[in-house]
Amino acid sequence: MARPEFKPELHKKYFRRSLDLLPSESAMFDYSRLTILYFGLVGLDILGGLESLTDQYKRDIVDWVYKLQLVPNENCPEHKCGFMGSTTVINLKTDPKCDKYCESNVAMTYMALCILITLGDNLSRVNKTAVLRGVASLQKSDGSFRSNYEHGESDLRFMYCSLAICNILNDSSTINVNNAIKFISNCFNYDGAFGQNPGTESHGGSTYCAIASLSLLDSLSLVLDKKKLKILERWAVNRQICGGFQGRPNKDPDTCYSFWLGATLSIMGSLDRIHKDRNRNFVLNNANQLTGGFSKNMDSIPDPMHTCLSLCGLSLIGDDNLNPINPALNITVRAANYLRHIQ
Amino acid sequence: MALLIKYYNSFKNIFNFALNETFRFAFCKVFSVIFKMDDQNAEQKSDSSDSCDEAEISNYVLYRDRPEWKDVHPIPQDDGSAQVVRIAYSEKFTDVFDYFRGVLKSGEKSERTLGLVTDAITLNPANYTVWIYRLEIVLFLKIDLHEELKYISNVIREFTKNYQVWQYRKNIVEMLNDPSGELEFTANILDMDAKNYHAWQYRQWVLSTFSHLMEKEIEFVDKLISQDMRNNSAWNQRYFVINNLDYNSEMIENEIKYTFDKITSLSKNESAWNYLRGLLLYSENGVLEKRVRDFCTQLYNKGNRSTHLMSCMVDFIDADVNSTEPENIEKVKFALKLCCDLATVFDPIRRFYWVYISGELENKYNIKEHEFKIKVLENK
Repeated sequence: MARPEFKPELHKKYFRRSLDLLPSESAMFDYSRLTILYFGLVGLDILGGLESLTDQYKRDIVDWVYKLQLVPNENCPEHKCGFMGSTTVINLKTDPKCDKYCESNVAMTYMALCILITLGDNLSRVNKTAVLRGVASLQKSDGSFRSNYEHGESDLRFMYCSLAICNILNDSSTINVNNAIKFISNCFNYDGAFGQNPGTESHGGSTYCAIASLSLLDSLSLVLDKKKLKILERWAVNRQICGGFQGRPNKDPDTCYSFWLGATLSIMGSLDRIHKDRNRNFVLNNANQLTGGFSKNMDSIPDPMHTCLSLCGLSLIGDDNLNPINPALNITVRAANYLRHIQ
Repeated sequence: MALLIKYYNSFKNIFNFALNETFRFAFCKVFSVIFKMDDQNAEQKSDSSDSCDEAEISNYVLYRDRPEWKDVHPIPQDDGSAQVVRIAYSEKFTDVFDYFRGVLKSGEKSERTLGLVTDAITLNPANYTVWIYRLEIVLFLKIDLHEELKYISNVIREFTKNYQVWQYRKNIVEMLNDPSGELEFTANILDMDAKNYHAWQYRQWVLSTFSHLMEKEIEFVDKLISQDMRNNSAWNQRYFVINNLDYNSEMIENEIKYTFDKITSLSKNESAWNYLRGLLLYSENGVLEKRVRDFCTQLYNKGNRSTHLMSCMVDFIDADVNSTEPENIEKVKFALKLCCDLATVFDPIRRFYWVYISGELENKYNIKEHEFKIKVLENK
C-alpha cells in the first residue's frame, strides 16, 4: 500500500477543534475532560502546534486546570487531594455539606501536571504536599494504587500514574516504593509481559505501565534480569503484525499500540528491532485525510487519544517533522526538559 | 455560550438526518478512553444521548418538567468563563446532571433519587460519583442486594467494557458474600466476547476470593480453548488455574501433552507456544526441556516452519551450547540458519529482530564467518 501523505496542519486543526467543543456523543467524557485536554495538548506539542494557541487561551486552560485541584481544608481530607477530571461536581467543591463527593483521581492528577508542564506553567500553584499525600493514601498493602479513594479499582494504570506524579514532583518519600516494585513484579507473566493485576493476561498497555514505572524508579534491572528482558523483548516485538501493533497475541492491530509497545521497546533500548517503516505505514494509513486525526483502525473514526498516541508512535520511530517525546512520562522532550529545569 | 451549543446541536441533527446510517454512525461514534483494553468504551452507548432522545421523545419527561421534582433545585455545571474542551451536552444529559448535582447537595436518598441516578448511569456509566452515590442510596434504603445484583448485571450486559460497572459488581458481591452466580454471569459475558479483559479480570477475582470455585475452572478453560485455540485470554486463564493448584509433576506432564496436541493441530498459534514455554518454568533438572526439544525437532524434521517453532529452537540451542567445541559450532550455525530463514522467508516483519539475535549468537560464540549472513537495509 502506498504511504499516504502526512498532513501536520490538518491534525493541528483536528486537535484545536477537540480542545474547543466536543459533540454531545462525547458525554461519556463528562467526568474526564482532562484526558481530552491532555491528548490534545501533547499531540499539538509533538506537531509543534502550541504556538497557534493564543497566550490568553493557554492562560485560560491553566486556570481551568487549577480550578480542578482539591486542596486540604476542614472539609477536604488529604486523601482526596489532587485533581478532578472535570467540572461535573465542582460547584460543590466549597460546600461543606457535600464536598465529600469531590475527590481527585490519580490519572487526572497525572494528566493535569502534564498539561501544566506542557503549557510552561511552573507548578507553583500545585499544592505538592497535598498531592503527594493524596497519592500515598491510594496505595494498598499489596503495593498497588487505586484510581481514587472511594471504591476505586487498582491496577498497573494507577501505579504508573502515581509514580509519574512522584517523579514530576520529584518526591517519592510518601509512598512505599519497595511494595510498589513488588507489585509490579507480581504482574509479570509466564509469557514475559505484564498484566494489569497479578495473574491477568499480558497486555501492551499494562506492559507499558510496568516498564515506564520501573524506568521512572530507575529499577528496571531490579525486576527484570537479562533473561526476562530478552523474553519481554521477544513478546513485544511479536506484537507487530500487518505493520502495526496488537495489544495481545491473536488480536487485531490498533494504532495506539504503536505507542504502548513502541515506548516500552524504546525505554528498553530495543526499538531498532521492530520494522519501523511498516509500522509508520500502518499508522499513516489510519489518518483521516479529510477531517484530520487518526483512528485505531480502518473501521473506526479518529479520536483524540488515538491521534495523540499515533503521533507519539510516529515520533518514537523518528520523523523529522515531529518533536521527540520522553517515552516514560509521555510528554515531549521539550516539556520534560522544562520540567527538569523548574524542579 | 448556551446558544452556540444549541446551534451546534441543531446543525448536527440536520446533518444526522441528511446522511446515511453508516456515515451517521461514523460521525456519532466517539472517542475511546485512555488505557483502554482494546475498544473498551468505544462500543458503548456512545450515541445514546441523542439518538435515544429522539426515540424516547414521546414518553420521556425532563426532570425540570416533572411536577413531583418541583421541590428540588437543579444546579447547572459551572465551567466559569473557560472555553476548554466543552461538551455540547444533549438537553436530557444537562437536565439529568443538573438535578443530580442538586440531589448531591441536598443529600436526598430516596426511591426517586435512585431513579435519577439510574438515568445518570445510563447516560454516563464512567462517572465515579454517580456510582458512589448510588451505593449510598442502596444501603440507606436497605434495598435487597440481590435485586441490585440483577440491576448491575443488566448494566454490564449493556456496557461490557466499562471499568466502573465491574467495580460496582465487586462491591455488591463482596457485601453479599455470595459468589454463586458469578461464574455463570462472567461465562455469559465471555460468550459475547471471549477476550473481554474486564470479564476475565473479574472472574479471576471471584476465583481467588472464593477459592472453592477453582475446582471446575479447568473444564471451562478447556471449553473455551476448544472453541477458539487462538484465544490468548483462555490460555492465560489456564496458566492462572495451574499456577493456583498445588504443584504435582503429573499435572504438568498432562499439560505438556495437552499443549503438544494443540500445537500439532495449529502450529502457528503463538498462545499455545507461549503456554508451552511457560510450563518450562516448572521444569526440574531440564527434564521438560528435553521433551520439548525433541518435540520441536520432530516437528521441524516433518517440514513444519512455524515461526514460533523456529524461535523456540534458536533459544534451545543457545541455552544448550556452552563451549566452542566443533560439534557445538555446527549447532550454533544451525541456529544462525534458522535466524536467516526467519528474517528472509518466514518472519520478514521481524527481520531486524532476527538480525539482532543472529548477531548476538555470532558474538557470543565468536562465529564471524558463515553462510547465513542476513543482508538488510537500514531500519528507519
